[in-house]
Amino acid sequence: MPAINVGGIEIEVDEDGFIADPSKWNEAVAKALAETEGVTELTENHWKVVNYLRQYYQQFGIAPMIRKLCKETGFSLKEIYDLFPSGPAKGACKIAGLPKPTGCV
Amino acid sequence: MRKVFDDYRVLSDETLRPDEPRVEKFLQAMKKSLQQRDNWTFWLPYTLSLDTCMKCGTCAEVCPVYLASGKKDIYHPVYRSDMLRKVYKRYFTLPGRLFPGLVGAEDLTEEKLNAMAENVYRCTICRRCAYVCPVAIDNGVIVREARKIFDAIDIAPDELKKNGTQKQIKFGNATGTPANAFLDMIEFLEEEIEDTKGYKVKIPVDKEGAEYLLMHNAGDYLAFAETVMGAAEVMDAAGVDWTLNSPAKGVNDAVNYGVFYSDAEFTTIVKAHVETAKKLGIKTLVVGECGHAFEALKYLMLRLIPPEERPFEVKSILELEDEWIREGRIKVDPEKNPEPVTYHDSCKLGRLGGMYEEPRRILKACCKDFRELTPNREMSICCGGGSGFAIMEKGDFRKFRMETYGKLKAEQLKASGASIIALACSNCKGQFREIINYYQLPVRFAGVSELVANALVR
Amino acid sequence: MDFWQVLIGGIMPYMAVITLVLGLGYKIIYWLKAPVNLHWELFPYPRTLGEQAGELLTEVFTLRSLYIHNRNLWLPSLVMHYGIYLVVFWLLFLVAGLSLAVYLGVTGGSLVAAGSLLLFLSRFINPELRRISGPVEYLNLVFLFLLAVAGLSSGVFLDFAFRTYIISLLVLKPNLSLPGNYLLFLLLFWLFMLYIPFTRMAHFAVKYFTYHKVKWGEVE
Repeated sequence: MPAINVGGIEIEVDEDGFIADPSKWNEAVAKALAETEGVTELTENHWKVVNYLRQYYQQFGIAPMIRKLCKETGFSLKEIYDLFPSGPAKGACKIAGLPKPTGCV
Repeated sequence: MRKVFDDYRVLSDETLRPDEPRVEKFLQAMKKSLQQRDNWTFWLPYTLSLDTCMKCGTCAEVCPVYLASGKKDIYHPVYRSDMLRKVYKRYFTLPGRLFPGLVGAEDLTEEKLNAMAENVYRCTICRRCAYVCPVAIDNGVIVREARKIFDAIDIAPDELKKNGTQKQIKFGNATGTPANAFLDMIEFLEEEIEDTKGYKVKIPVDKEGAEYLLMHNAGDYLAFAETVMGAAEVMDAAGVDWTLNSPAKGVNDAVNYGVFYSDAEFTTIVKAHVETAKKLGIKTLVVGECGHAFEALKYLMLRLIPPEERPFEVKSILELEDEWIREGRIKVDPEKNPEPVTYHDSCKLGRLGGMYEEPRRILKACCKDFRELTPNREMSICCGGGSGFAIMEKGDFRKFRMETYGKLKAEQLKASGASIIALACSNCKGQFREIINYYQLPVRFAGVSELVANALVR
Repeated sequence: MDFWQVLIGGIMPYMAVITLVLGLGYKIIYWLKAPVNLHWELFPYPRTLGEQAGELLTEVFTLRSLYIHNRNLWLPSLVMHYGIYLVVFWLLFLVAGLSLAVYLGVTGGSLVAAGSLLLFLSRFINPELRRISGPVEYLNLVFLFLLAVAGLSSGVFLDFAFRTYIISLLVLKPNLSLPGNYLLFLLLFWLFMLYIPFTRMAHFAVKYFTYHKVKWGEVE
């Protein structure tokens, strides 16, 4: 299994780069995952999205609808793509330490 | 992941196991695939296609991957079919055993197996080739049979199997949406409809004995919510007795990835769909905007499940919308969709499903300026999202999709001058979302139901 | 009696015809008994028997799919196939005693020779075709070419009197006084008949199944 290095610690990721064990996520892991997504700095806006994703996932066991994510964070889909180039599912969810969304998303 | 075929890899090393011996087991599975009793579902088109290709290359003249790649020989449809055909001739035909060199029979090696495993995931099985072949040979069915053989030796993309069909059986949907999350989504969608449209729509869930059970591709709730909202508004405006269903009541995801790679998985899911529909006691199963789901439930299911075991009709949401607009059950005003709109014929709905005119009648009624893509209908060019490709991103696969199929679609889209492309299939939506981004096109995509809902006169 | 006359003129014709009929018959029955496949139609397709017959005849006599999608191969293929149909009619007209037969034979033979030669060259020269062609694809065309040329150069197509030999075969009393240079043509002819049921030369029969059982579905 591939892994990323977070301050000297190896965190396992799956073949798509998503964290293998979501319980190992923390802010440092988020920054390391962001690097793999080409996001060099996590701004306040990034964290707004990441925090909403984590809160929804912890409550419902799945990532939120993209439309709901946009509404609750106040960002348009385009703005989300600007923050996370791979998009809400493949980019934001990855950095937020959610498992890779499955199905036709 | 090292190169085993081209610059892309759909199958991870964990799945493909490229350095392990698999030829022996592959050949055993292939032997079974050639037996009528073990593999009756497509035995006739499969064996005839293996036997009777006249190598005229007419298929290549219309194959999107081959043409868009600049006619790269590894993407020629005959080259791909021959990967399986040469093995078939060598091990399962007399001339192939006796004079292999003469008839183009070849031994299967581990390296050739690796290459074949990848190449069968470059073709979307759009069957444009089969449509034009003078002998009606079907490279698509050969690709599917090869995928089935690989699945029999445990080689299948995890997007389709582990995180696809298997997840769907376990959770009721391939997205892994639990019932409470689903109900939360429905509540949100009702709020959204009220916020954006100004009227309240009650979305029934798990209503027993309803006339229509509408089942969407579960991914639509997450990624293409506008389609789900639009469909709900249309059902409501039509004043019919309808319902959605939650994963608490069986399968609530219209997808059946088994269509892409496995009869065994396909059958399991079809049976789950049938069970769900029967338990809810509904009269008509309405397939939402998902291409392969329509093919699976409208056509493929018919000879798999005897009619007495499936006491319900199957219709596409497009068939209903078309019917209701024509009979005046819902009223629409095309002025409400003033931008130029074009329509992409999804392979499964069009060439494989026969629904060409329904979406066109709908769009012409709901949009002021409808234009055709060229070519269209039976010669429509596959967008490259089919066969689950839209959700496969490993090994730079997105780049492959964009640089081959995607390139042709971007050109068509630009030529049409449309600013909205109407799509009735989730894989197409996923693919076009990427195409529009990749090629920076001044276009947005919309579900057909979304456009109908925009045009509603209530 | 000359061994070759007996073999080629007297024994092989019956072997060839019986093998062709039984071989093709066996295959057709085998395919007819195949399990009904899942619906796998391609739309649009002709629904009534009349529409289907129309499309079938159009495809057979105009090779429309080649014309529209693979124009380079269309004319040589059409020429070759028409040549084959004319050679079949040559035989029938010969048996019926119609003198037109000779013209059909010579024209047919010439068209087959021209068509198969052009197709052979296309396969060899066009890199896209060459890449998907193996030895057997070339050999099939060479077979037809040699058959046609043997018929033309031996004069058998021109010879109305060849009729007596054909009739003698039909009444099971083969007239074994054939001109020597007819024997090569006949040998190739019988070998071709033997070849048909076991190879892709039977594609004309396969087409019934790929179209009517799969692409067009079973007639409702």
